[in-house]
Amino acid sequence: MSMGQSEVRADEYRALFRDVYDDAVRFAMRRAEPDDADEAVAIAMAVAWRRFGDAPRSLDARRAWVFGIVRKTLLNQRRGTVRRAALAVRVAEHVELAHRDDVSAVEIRADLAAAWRSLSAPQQEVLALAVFEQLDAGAAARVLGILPGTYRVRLSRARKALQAALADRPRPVVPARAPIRQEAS
Amino acid sequence: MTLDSQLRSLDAAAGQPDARRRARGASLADGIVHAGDHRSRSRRATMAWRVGGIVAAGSLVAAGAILLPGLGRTLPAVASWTAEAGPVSDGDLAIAEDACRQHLASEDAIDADTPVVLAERRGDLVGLILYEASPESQGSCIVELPAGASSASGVLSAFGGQSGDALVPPPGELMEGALAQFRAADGEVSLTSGAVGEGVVGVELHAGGITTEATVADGRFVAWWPGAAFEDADLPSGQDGPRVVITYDLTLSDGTVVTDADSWFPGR
Repeated sequence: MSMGQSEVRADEYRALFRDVYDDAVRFAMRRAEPDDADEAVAIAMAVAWRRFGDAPRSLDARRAWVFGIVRKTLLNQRRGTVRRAALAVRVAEHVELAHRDDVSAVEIRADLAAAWRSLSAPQQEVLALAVFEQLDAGAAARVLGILPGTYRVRLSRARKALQAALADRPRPVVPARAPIRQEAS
Repeated sequence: MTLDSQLRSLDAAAGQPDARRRARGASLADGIVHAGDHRSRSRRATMAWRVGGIVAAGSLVAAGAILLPGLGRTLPAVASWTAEAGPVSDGDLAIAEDACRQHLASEDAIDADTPVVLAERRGDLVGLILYEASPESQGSCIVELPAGASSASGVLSAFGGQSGDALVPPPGELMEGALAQFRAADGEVSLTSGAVGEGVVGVELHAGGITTEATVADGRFVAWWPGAAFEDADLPSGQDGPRVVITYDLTLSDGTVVTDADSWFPGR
């Protein structure tokens, strides 16, 4: 590879880094303690440089590609006696009263947090990709290494599980469901 | 407010990345990309970050490699470490290599066919380097494996690489390689490897109060020791980042000893 080609490649990588780094940090921090998240992102971005030739062209696909690397790194970090297949996704530990909130709003969020924590790790993972990372089914499926149709089925089931968990709470306040972004195909 | 909006109000990553992580990100990008930029050679680490109980650091190296922390969460016992390295039996090497590859493969850190080029035993621990020159990539492991044991009981791993090919130092020269420093409750462990030119038959490494003989073979060297590779490893990365504390004495094939040898890099 010539010096000119190397510089072009480095510039392209920097552009990818700028595009995805913040999202990658957030992705990791939702799924790991801060130190582990930092490590996973550092490793993933280095792997992304090493595998840069495999990087997709579109921004959405690149985000999903990097998320997939971060996810794999986090899963490997947690290798133990049992190999994990899914990452639990954290939500805020404390639900605080925000400006213009009333007490019921805090209660709703507390219920929602409790319902979220009652979900399995695979359910949290498929929901988080739609809700927090706001990926369409194709991109989310890429992160998990599954087919988009499989992802849609799992997402639907996870939403139902969350609704059911909320319904089991003492104060069943369930706002209307937001439509998820659909992929073009 | 919709359910999804309500969920987003519970985002555990709200406000991230913070200023510290943004700065680290800028440094990380530079470290990864400039790893191949031989003109900006520096003996300061381009990257250093705290990872759990470990501080791992990668150094800008003449060969253009940058070493990143692997997933070795368990620091092997280092009490048995010896300043002089010994050979690794074929049986032990097979076990150590398998343990190392499992750690590295889990991150796509190296290709599956990257060969082992160096292996050495120091007490109950085996150090090994998997290395490919084109494009340059390297995996390094310290494996806790008492001689004759049936399985490894701990692994520290790290990896690095660049898009270009490895450089070869001139005869009689050493080219400092990738560095990794791990820290846990019971102290640091550091590992380095690099290249030597024709005629270099021995490398003695000094780091802090530690002196150790590196294993040298086929133009490569490797050494690891219980101690630091960097001064102020907690400093942010960059030109003002952690400073490498290692010095090298080279033994040449004619018996000449070159003390405190500078690391070679193109254009020096």
